[in-house]
Amino acid sequence: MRFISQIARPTGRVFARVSLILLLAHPSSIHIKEPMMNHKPARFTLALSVILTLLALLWMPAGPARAVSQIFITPNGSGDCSQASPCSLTNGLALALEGDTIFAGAGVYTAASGNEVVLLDQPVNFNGGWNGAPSGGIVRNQNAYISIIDGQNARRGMTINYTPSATVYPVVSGWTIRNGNATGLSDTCSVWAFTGVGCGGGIYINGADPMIVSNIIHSNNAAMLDTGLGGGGGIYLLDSEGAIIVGNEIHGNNSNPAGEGWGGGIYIHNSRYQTYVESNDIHNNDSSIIDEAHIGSGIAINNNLDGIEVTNNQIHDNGQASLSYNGSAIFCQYCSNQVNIESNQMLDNHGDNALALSYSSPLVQLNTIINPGSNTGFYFGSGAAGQIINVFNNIIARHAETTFTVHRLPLPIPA
Amino acid sequence: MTLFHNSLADAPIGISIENSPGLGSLFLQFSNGIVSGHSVTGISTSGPVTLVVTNTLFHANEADGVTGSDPFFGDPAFKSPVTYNYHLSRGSQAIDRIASGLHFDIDGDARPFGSGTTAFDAGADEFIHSLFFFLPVTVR
Repeated sequence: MRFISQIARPTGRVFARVSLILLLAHPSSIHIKEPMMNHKPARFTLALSVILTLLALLWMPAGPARAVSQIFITPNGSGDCSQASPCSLTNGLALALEGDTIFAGAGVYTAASGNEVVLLDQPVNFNGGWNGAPSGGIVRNQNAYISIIDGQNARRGMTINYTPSATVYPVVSGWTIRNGNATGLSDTCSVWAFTGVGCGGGIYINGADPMIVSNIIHSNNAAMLDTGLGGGGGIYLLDSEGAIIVGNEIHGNNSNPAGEGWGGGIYIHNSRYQTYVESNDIHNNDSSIIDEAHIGSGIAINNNLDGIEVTNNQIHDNGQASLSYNGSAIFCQYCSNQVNIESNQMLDNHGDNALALSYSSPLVQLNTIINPGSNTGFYFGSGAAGQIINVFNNIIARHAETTFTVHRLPLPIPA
Repeated sequence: MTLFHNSLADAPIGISIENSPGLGSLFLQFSNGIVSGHSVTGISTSGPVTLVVTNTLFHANEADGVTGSDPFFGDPAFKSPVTYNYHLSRGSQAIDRIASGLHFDIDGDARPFGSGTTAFDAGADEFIHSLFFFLPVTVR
């Protein structure tokens, strides 16, 4: 669901963001839907997306006074960061200012020290897949020119903690982010109601509003400790100012392969502004074999303060065949009625239940939930009375025990 | 809690509602749905629960359980459950059975497709009839 008319910030970039989503999402699945009976969804077409994008460009506010720069990097670069003479990752990041765009050539980017390989503490565009040509137009193809951020199991892949800008809306795209490990990075690491022992193995976002588009995020661990909770093996999102996570493949990540964790693929904690998780392929996360509580192996959401759109995602093969795995596709706790779980394919996930809601009242519609390896397809647990959820037009089938369970007790979440 | 136009199929239990005494009443409405292929029970409740079930197709459940008002019975004829395709196929007993409901289905197709006083299909999918007629080849 896309409340285009309800998005708060009336600037061109809002339209640009929405247009981008529309462009990236599968055209046949795009529609505006209203959570009421007798309302018919209006389909958007690709052409409309293009029009919105063009309108956004026309309505963009004036750019910053300084001319924005293009910065070029390669793993072994030692030049002046120009296209003809790329520099290193470290020098490129040091040179970049608000609104700049970094283009990264193929190869593996690592760090010898520090908490992360990449720190984006300013709103800059950060693009992988550049072909490395020293002149001419900038050509990017992330499949042909693979740019890899490798945490080497020693540090996090990327930290994004810039203060949101009024004029710049940065994009991180075209990267492979792998082997991140955030064990011990517990500063501003909230998981459920506790301080975690590691958050965001692949990407950690705190209070920022990036668009994370068309990346491959795999084999990252939020934490590898049995002394507390890990959060967000692939992506951790804290106090989102309206982040967009769209068109990524997020697989093989773990929230905590040595203990308890939330959000093997993605963990969202305290969203602010509308947050979008759309058209991602989220699979085989939290697949380490450990019989300790894992919540939301695909996506875990906790404590949202504003809307979250979880739509058109393929969420499959997450979790393990254990009663300790709850919400192996999606887990939503304290999710308000501004959360929409819509048009997702939740298939072949493993655990006690595939979609789980706790103390929540989201709209759940148009999903296909088929998980023979899960005991329950859709679990609604709540200790409070009067919570209202709307569940429309879903297919829920082929589960080991129960198709739909309402249990008036909280889920057995970790203590 | 309102559940409209959901297709629930192929598990031991379709809907299980448990409410602990002392926590207050729990209300759930299940309408215009399909409950099919449950080897133990279609819909079951325990504890203080107010359950309203209307206009729902039941099929091949060992016991249907709570069927509510205006239930109907028959094969939903899902296209291919083995390949996870739970759309309706021609001849489904879910087609054109309900007088009112949501005006879109799981694919974004408009409901109802068809005419008459009960033009809405039960479940998540609205069956769209082919607009083409396939005539037999004639031999000159």
